[in-house]
Amino acid sequence: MGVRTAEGFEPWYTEEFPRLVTTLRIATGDGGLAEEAAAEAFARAYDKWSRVRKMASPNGWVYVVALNEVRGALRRRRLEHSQAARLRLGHAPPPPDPDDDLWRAVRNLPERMRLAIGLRYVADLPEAEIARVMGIARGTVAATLHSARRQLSHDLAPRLLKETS
Amino acid sequence: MNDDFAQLSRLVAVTPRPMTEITDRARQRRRRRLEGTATGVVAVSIAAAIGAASLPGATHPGSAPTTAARGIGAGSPTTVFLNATAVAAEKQLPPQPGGFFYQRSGEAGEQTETWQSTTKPGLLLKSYGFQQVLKPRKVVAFIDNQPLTWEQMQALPTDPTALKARLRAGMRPEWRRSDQDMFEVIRDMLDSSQTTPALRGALYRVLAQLPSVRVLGPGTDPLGRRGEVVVVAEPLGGVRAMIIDPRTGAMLAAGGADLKERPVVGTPDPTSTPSYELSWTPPPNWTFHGKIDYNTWFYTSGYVSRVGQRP
Repeated sequence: MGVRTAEGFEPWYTEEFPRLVTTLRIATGDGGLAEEAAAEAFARAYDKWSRVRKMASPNGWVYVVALNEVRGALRRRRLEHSQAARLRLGHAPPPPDPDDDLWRAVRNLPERMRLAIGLRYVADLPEAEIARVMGIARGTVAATLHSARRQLSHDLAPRLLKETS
Repeated sequence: MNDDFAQLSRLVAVTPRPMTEITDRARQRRRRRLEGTATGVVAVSIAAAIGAASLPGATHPGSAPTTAARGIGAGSPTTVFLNATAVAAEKQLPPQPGGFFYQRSGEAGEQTETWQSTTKPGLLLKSYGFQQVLKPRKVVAFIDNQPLTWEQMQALPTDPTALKARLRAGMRPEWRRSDQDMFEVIRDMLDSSQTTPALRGALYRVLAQLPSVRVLGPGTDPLGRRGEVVVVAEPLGGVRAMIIDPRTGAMLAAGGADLKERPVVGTPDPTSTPSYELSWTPPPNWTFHGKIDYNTWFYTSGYVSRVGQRP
């Protein structure tokens, strides 16, 4: 049987997969886990594409699913007590961290700030959508992003990052 | 900042995996779903997995039921319940090292069974047919990410104050000040029945010392089992939760507040910059609104003499 490609899925997937992986990698620090969670989330999207494509924000949906995959994978690691049982089993080793000041500064942020930063600046989601994905109030997103930018600016001085909304 | 992140994104960019992998995964998901429905292997559907706790006052999803939290402090219902649960946990049978530790748990519509030994190869079984041999592991528990052998676990103090200090020392530095992360570490340790009864009792007594922890009252897990719901308030809104069988001190299920819920009244102040890194305690009279979703639950566990045997 040939590959059935749901109409409109592949361009969306091609465009969004790298952004989702980068966002998850920023949030988790684990490139392999990020790729696996993203692949699983897009597989779910493919499975339900007729519904997902009609959603107001398919991107928001796939980010929520991917984050749940990450949480589930982290919990399974504990449950199975086995690093070998990680979701990336069978795939190539995760890529090394880039030698980049901004990457290091972001990795030093608390987990929730990293996720907010990834969703805002990599996934390019608006604050209202970030609030939905993270399950927190919009005001809290703004506050979290503000704190994150302030900390990044401090850590990256004298690079003098410009704060933009 | 947008430009900086655009550059960073290019630096770590990945190529999308082939479409065939995505479609194969989707097909496998469909097949697992169908097999689960046809054979009843998957006992709980994904929908049921997101089961709502039946909390006092709870109504339909989307409404805002109010559950008065029962405060902590000497003689408070939370402290009384957790100390009573500690006594119940201490009366359970001790683990029997040497055999296989069996555990059956569920998550997102899938059941997992594991047989784990410290000396012999074990087995991992997923309800959709996945199997994996587990290497012998000396590790029987964790404090945060710090693995503990059987001997190390048995050497943990059972005085709650000393245990709390030991747990904090074993946690990653950025977690040490937070009740929420202590709750997470304790919940992880309660996952495993390999913890001794004395240690489980002590873990409940440590929970009783955390100001952000509350017992909300009776609830029901996704399998319909009744228990008491214990939560910790989150600084950015929401709660982490577990449901406990008060007769045995066993954890029935673990989860948290639904994404849409705004559970904690009085916090957070959206104009402030709440942080996980600072010690944070909710107001003494904080109140929970809404329902709790459980994403992991525990059917049974115990020691058996061989792989394939169930308690």
